Amino acid sequence: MNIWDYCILGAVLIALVVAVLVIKKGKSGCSCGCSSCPSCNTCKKKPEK
Amino acid sequence: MTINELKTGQSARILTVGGEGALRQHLLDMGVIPGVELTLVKFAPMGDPIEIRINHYELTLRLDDAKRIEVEPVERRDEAAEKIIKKKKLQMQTAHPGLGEDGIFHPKGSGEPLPEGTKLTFALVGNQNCGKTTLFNQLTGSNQHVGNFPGVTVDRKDGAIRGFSDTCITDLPGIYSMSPYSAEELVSRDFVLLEKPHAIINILDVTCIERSLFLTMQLLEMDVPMVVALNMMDEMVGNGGSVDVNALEEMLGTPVIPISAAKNEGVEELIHHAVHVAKYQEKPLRQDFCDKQADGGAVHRCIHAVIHLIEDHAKRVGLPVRFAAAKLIEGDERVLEQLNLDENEKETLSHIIVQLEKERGLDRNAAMADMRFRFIYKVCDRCITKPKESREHIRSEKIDKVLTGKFTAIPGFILIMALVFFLTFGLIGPFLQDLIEQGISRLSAAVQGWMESGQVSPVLRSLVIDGIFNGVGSVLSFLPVIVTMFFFLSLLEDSGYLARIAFVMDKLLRKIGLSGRSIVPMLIGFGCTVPAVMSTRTLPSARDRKLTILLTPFMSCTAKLPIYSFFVNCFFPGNAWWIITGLYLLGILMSVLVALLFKKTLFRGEAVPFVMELPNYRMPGFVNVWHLLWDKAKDFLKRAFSVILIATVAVWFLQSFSFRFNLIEDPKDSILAAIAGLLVPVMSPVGLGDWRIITSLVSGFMAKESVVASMEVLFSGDLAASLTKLTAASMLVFSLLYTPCVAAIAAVKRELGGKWAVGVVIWQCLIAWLCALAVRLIGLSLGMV
Repeated sequence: MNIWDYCILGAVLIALVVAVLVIKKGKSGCSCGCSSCPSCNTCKKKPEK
Repeated sequence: MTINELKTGQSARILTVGGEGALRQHLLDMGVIPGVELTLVKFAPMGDPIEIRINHYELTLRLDDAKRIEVEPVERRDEAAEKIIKKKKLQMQTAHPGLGEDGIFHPKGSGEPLPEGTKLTFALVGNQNCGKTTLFNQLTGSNQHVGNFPGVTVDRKDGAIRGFSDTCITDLPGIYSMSPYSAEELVSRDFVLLEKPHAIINILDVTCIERSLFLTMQLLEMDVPMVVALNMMDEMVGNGGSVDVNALEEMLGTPVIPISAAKNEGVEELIHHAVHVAKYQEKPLRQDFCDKQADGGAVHRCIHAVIHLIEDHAKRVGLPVRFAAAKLIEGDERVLEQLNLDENEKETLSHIIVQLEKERGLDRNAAMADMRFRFIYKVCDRCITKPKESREHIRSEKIDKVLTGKFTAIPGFILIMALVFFLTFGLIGPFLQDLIEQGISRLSAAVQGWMESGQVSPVLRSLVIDGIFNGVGSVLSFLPVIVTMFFFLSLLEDSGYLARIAFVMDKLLRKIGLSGRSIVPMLIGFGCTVPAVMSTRTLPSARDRKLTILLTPFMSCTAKLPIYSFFVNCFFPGNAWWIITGLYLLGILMSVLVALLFKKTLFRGEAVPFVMELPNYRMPGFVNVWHLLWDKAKDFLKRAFSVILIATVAVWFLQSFSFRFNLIEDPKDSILAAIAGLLVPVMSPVGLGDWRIITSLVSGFMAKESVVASMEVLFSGDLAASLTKLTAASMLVFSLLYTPCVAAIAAVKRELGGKWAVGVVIWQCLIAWLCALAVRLIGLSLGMV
């Protein structure tokens, strides 16, 4: 493996970690996954049946 | 005679409002009360429902419900003549009451400010489609989606008022009264009653103030500090109307501020007053609207008798006593339960109410609604100069002659939808998609060349090019199609056409057990299933909500577009737009068949009544549409670089290595092939028994876009040679109908519970499998391979 291999591998790993963090952040306080998340608060309160 | 017997354009006065329960209460709350005049505007193209004009706004009603309202014909109302009389009255000058302003004026013994540092909480309350969310965005600087359709907001949204970080304002779903008719109305009522905000900002659509003031009166009864914002004043003044704000403020006993939320006029003054009344807890000066003299004072005496009867109970449970008394007289079971009256008190209560009905000659609900509307008409008589017929209304009438006309409505709807699909999939979308694809392939070639010259390891080259560029890149190219689709959907919603579609389609939808209002979640479902499922909260019955939620997955969401475009471009080039439109139609057809099945099995009974306000057509706001498109694009990009990136790297890894983590030559020996192989026997009958297809479909459960990304990785760009046209057709149908993504299932779980969510996954997969099998069998019988 040369220096570029390490760089690319490192970049891919960082991208994956960031992707996981983005998903986790999106889910904090909001789990509906809609486009307004997490600002819309739509899922903070359950509707009454 | 009854309303349905009127001729188009004929006016009549209401004699009695029949029926019972929540619907009747809802009608009364919306101003359909004995003595009020209305005009029959039109019948829907299929003869049912009807549109009536009452209290200066348009309301829809089904014939069955209209038959319960008795009327007597009157001469056509001359609103212009009424206006002249009112104008004379307006010339009387009223002193400025100065409510809610700085200084020494603190009414009702209030005036002690809340302790420093108290976070002031506000509830933003108003009718549906009166501009609450527009005002919320102005107050907080946020970009919540607004639309020209009753019921865009289905749950509360919080934010701090700009420049006042120690405040929290909550945008609530629109309600017509404090008698909850649907789930989202309950959210608003519970917020005001249980969370006890420091103040209420009551926003009114001043162009139909009679109906809006009904809610205002109930809010005043709650004895919470309040300011009234008269929205759409620009429209009112522009059409020659005016409001004596001082007189209105004096009559309501609470600050009144004219504003235009859309133009950000008067909002600063509103904030100033709202913060002031909240800080100094300045409660409304008036809660008593019943007239001692009217009809012998029957309603007045009844209300005050009940107030004395329940005062101790109301104080104990923390309910405003005037509000509780009014609700008890109206027969509100929730309040009755909350107050916990003993048998003797209940008996006394029923005697008081019987006496009211006897003296007033109206039933309890009609008597209460009549009392409120009498006060409202008195207020309007003194304070409001009605404008001439508004430009917006005249324009809406003209447009409606075509879009809801007897012979033009349905062809118009089909034409508009066909145009939307053609522009999205046939013209604008593909053009922009092609540009992005070219950019991505150039970048991919450049990176590949650079990696080769840098002698990067072949495994990493494969990861970057075959995995990331092929996977994420292929999904990114669909961004323009998705944004274009959302653009047209938001135009339909913002213009007010969506409400007309509900009106036109009600009769048709009733045949499959739904109400016209269900068409809205379904149309939103063409964008994304998650907000579609959430928007079913505007439906007032649990049966309709469940049935609509179960049907929304059949509306093909934009995330499935990449799958269709990908396969159609590969296997049926040149036929993109009509094949994709055909898939959408197949989804609709399946939903109809499933609805008919459910109607006869799980969900017997009738759809809820169709009582809905028809808003005027408006020009969609550029900023609003832009925000929506930006949100959708941002969301799509976020998903592409998070869920889809991880999925493509995972798929690349699992298909490049064996269980011993050795790099493999033939993908058939990979980990992925072994795992996906377990499902091969299930999928073989429908022609999708290839482990690579199965893997892609499974990854689609996380996000539909990743189906294409996974296929690009697994087939290494050689899809056309690996599959047949028949397999592609089966795949298209299976992708259309199989389980929605995990976010949509989470939304279903939240609305209906875990069992229903699991049921949806299994049910959709089963339907998809059966339909894909049918496609395969038909194809084989036609000699396709």
